[in-house]
This record gives sequence, structure tokens and C-alpha cells, in this order.
Amino acid sequence: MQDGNGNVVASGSYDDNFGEGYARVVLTFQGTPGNIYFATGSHLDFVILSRDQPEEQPIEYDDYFFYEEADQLEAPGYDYFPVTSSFYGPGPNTPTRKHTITIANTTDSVAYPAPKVNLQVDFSGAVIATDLGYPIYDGMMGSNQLGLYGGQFGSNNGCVIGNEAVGTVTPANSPGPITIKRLVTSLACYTGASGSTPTSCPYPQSSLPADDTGNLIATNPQEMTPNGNANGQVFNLDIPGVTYENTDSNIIRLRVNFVDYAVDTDGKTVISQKVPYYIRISCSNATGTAQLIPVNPTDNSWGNGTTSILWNLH
Amino acid sequence: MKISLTVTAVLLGGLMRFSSAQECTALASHSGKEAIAYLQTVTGDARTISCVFTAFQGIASLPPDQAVPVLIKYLGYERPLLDSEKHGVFLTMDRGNLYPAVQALFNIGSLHRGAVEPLLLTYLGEDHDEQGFKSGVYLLYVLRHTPAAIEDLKARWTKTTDPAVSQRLHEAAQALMNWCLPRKMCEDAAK
Repeated sequence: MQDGNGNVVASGSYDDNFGEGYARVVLTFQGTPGNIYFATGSHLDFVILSRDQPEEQPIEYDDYFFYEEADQLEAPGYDYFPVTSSFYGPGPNTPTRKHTITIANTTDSVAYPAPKVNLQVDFSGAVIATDLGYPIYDGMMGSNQLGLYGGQFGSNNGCVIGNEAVGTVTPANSPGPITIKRLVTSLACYTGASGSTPTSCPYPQSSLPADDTGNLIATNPQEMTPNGNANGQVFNLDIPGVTYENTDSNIIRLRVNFVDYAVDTDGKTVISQKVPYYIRISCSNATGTAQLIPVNPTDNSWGNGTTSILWNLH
Repeated sequence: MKISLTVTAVLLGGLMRFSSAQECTALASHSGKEAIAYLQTVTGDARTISCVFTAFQGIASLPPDQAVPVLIKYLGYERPLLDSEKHGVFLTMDRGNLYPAVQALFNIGSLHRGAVEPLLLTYLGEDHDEQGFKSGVYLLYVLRHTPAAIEDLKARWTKTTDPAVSQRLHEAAQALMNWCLPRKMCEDAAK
């Protein structure tokens, strides 16, 4: 396999020594979308001669393809061919002095168009079964359902919003990897009896926008998962929110603005639209079981676009 | 064994103290080798969490053959909590958040296929504390998923002559069963 400059990017060979009747070479290499690559196959025919009466002299060989008289053939590393051998068969009329014969060349080329991704972030329904993060999400949440959780879920106690970014790749047979990245663009956290006192957040303001991609990602659009083929889709699961290990009488409020987008194999080139979305969570664990404590009816919610990050959402 | 960090480190024969975020920024400006030295020599509790992040970022920036053996040793290391996390606020629940070596190794393994798995399988065959074991199993899942992860473990336990190693690899496979849907596919892979 060569690139447009003639550089070999991958190579391989296959010997059919056992009469399978075919040869197949699978080459894997990392290409650059939009470039053209050339696959060239050289087919060599080996002469394998059977030997009659091996214990006797002179040794005789049968050449059913009638390549050449024995003294004109070369067989390095093997036996040599006595002058007295006989060859038969309807083979090519032109004899050769080589022990291999080039019988064909094949040239083909393939170019993958640069992939594009249509991206959406889901907050309801079940996690898609071909998302490789599905089992971990299911294990953490005790359910495969996306959306708002408040109270006990799985082995956790808290208030979270499970969401799944789904990227549909075009063309669907693009090899990937394609990664859905997640950025935190702004956020604020509050605590106190009324949940109005600012407190530090997982990402300080100085670090924003912060990469929050995580590792519950599926980047191969052709992934064969236990639940079927990914069918040209890539994923990123997230479970932001508040989880408690101890009783905390304070209200915790979390307001976060995210942006999701997909990047190509180089990890940098953006190949989807940017999808802004937000989450709002207000939670308390005063009773030992987490409860949703909305500051107003729009709290404990999510949506496309951006949210106010003030404690009261004004 | 739980690994904990402090902010004192010996770097390239000299003594440097990382007691503030600014000094940790200085650590980042060095090559990853200084970060390795930092993590390998620190003891006690971390006082400056930014130093921990910086050190892991520095190591992760090394070539994979240098970074992976170091990061593997820290799979069970749980970073100190941020103030917000002490209140319970987390922006993600995946294990790479609190166990920085998990995320660093995942990032390397995603870019360089096959760079992490061999040493990770060796790690899972060794005796580690509960968190190290959990991190190792989690990392193997997110890198390889099931049933491939279980097939990897099986290939390793088939080769080993050490019954203790084999036992640990079987335990890792059993832990992976929790994330295997449909489960029977993994049970078949483990046979």
C-alpha cells in the first residue's frame, strides 16, 4: 500500500502452499482522510514438484505445467533437479530459468472521503445498546435510562443527569476513530443552607474551557459490539451531578454549560457541528437520602443552548 | 498498597519543593522525566492537588514505552478531592476522574493501540490492593471492552505456569462479567 508520494505505508504477503486456491492479505495503516492510496498486488507462482520414487536414483520429478527441463530450473534451499528428470503437462510453452514466475499484477486504489458527523445529545430514553459504555452506565445507575436521577440509584446516593452524545458518521463506513469531545465552557457551584453561597467547582474558572471528555467513549463507527454493529455511530456518555458519601445538610447547586463536538482521527480536526447544552442540579442530603431541591420550576433540568449559572437561575 | 503523594520531591539530583500551584506549573515546563521522579519519590498526603495533575500530565506526555510502565504503578492511586468534591459535586462518575493514572493510560491506549494492554495484563496478574485491581479491570474494559477483554485475560492465564497469577487473572475476568451484556458471550469467552 503506497501513498500518493510512492511511500510504502503497509505491506504483506501470503503463501498458498496448501492448495487453498486463494491468497488474501489484510493490511492496516493509518491514513489521512482525503488522500489517495494505491494498493498493488504481485502474484508469484511457485513451482512445487512432486518426486517419484524418492528412494531410488535417478530421482524423477513431475512438472504438470511443463515449465522447463530440470537442469534449467533453480531451487535454492531445496533439492536440485537431476538431468535425467522428466516433465509433463500442458504448461506454458516458454520455459523459464526462474523458480518463480510473475503471472499477474493488480492495481487498485481507494480514497475515503473526509467524514462528517451529525451530533446530538440525548437526555431521555435508554442508552443505545451498541454504545460500548452502556454496561458501565447500567452498572453505575442501576438502569439503562438517561435523564434526571435524585435519591438512591445503583450503589450511589445523589442527584445526577445521565446523558449520551450520539454522533452519526457520514459516510457510514468511515473507519474512524472519531471522538466526541466534551468541553465545560462555564460552571458554578453553590452550597449553604439555602444553596446560594458560591463554592469551588471541579474546574476553576482559570481552566475554562476545560476538556471533560472522559473515557466512557466509543470511537469506532464500525465496532462490532456484543449487541450488534455500531452502524456508523460513535458515542460519549456522561453522568454529571452530585453524589454523597456522607450526610450533608447543605443544599448543593450545580450549573454547567457544555459544548460537544466530534474530532477526526488526528484528534483535532472538528468534523461536526458544535452542540451547546446545559444541566442544572439542586440537591440535598439532609435526610441521608438525596433529594432534588429546585430553586424554581426550571431547576433540575437540561436542555440545548446555555443556562444562567447563578444560583437562582436569574 | 495505596500510594499517596506529598509535595516534596527530589528532581534530577537537586531538591525542589512544590508547595504552590505556581511551582507545579514550573514542573510542567520540564520534561516528563521530572514528573516521573516526582511521583516516584513522593510520600505522604498531597497538599497541592495541582502538582498531582501536573505530574500525571507530564508523564503522559512521554513516549508510550516510557509513560506506560510508570503510570501502571499508579493505577490504584486516588487523587485528593477538590473542595467541591468534598461536598459531593462531580462532573463525571467515571473512574478516570478520581484515579488519574486510569485516564492517562486510557488516553495513551486510545492513541497507540496495543501500547497499554500487555503491561496491564501483567499488572492484573500481580498482587495489588482493591483499588488498584478495580482500576486495572476498569481500564481493561474501557480499552478493550467485552468479550475481547476476557479473551485477553484467558490468553494470558493459559500461558502462565503460576497458579497465583492464573487465579488473579480469573478474578479479573469474573469482575468483567459485571459489564458484559449479554453475559453469556463473556462466559463463553472465559471457557
